[in-house]
Amino acid sequence: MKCIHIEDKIVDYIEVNLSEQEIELITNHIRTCESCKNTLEQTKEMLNKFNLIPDFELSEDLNKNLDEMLESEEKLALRNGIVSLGNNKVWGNVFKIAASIFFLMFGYVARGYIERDAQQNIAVNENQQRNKKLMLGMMENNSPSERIKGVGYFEDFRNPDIKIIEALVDRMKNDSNSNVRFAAVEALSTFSESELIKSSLIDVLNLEPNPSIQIEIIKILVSSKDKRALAPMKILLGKANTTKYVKDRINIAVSALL
Amino acid sequence: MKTSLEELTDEKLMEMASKGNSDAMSHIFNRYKLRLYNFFYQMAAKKVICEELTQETFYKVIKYKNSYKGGKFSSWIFRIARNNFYDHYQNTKKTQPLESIEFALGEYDEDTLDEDIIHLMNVINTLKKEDKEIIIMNRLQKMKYDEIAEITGSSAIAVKSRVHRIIKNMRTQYFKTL
Repeated sequence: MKCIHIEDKIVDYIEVNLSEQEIELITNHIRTCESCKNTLEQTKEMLNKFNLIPDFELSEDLNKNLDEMLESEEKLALRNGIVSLGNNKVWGNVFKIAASIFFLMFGYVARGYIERDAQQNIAVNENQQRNKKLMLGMMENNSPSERIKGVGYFEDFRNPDIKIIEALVDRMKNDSNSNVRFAAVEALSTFSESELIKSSLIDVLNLEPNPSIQIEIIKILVSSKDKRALAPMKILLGKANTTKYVKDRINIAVSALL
Repeated sequence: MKTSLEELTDEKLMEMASKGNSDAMSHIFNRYKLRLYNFFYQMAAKKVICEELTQETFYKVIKYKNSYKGGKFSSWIFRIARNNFYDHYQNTKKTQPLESIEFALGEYDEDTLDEDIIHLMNVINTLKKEDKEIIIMNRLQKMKYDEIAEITGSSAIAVKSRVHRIIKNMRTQYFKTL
């Protein structure tokens, strides 16, 4: 084995990641080659030094903020009775089956339509209409996970009409499940220039109890640079039950908007 | 017999956390907070920024908990951490071009450190940021090649040969200037 090959394998040699045969070859080589022996010693020494770079402890503030984040997560889980279908297997399965039947029927009806409409543009148009119906229907479903799926279809609409936007705003404001509200906020954020969406986000900021959603709304409002967002942010800042990391966020947001 | 949460793997804990188990989430936080904070510290140096990035990462873990679909958890969380890190620098690009940001090894108190440790840190600081990131993950965060490959979107073999090459170059520099 040549010196250049030894050097390529030196880390593996130190960490014993080679076959016995290779280890033996290198060991024999090093015994007689001063230069490779030096390479080995130096590499070992340097790699050991890496282990001596100390770790930093977390500051009290950071620990506190993380604990608060966990607390609000815990409260949420309790309030939602946990969205997981695992908690409510029977109903979860009923909804799953219901959804499957719904999709099957939808597929059947859709195929009928497509076969009838040879003209592609009409098909596309009708498809949009059907998707809209499907989406609006799903958003009213009893199961939170179906409602989230429904909200998710929003991505498919390039030019969503007012009905869809209103339905999403309604989910964002009134859904009892925070995951659904979150999904609605996220979906709406892609059209945050729309006046209706913007003013709804401003309205909802004070009503929304969930810190994660609060933060999401704050982020969107900051990027839309609407000064009307300052008033609800200041109210949130004054509330005793607003968590510290949300307050930190608001302070940054307020200075960005001013 | 009920297994205690401490004994569970990260993956199992996250699976429970994603279904709304907040105790499991709390264990995840405890297992990773020091690691993530120090990762940012090794990459970025500024305490305030590292605290912000650590919080942001955990905030996203909660936010995207439903999108965790199994797979190596450490790779998942470090992918979030790394994206946060680069987003942060992308966002401050207007005031500070990305290239000019010093990826310093931190605000360590030099009096408490051995001279050759400081020397090693200085050598790490001379690496270009892609190399520095890989060395930090592998040598300081003790991540395996396949984990790093998953985080950086590369292959384990490519990561391994890169790590070896960086170590080789670092050795020359370390002993040249010692």
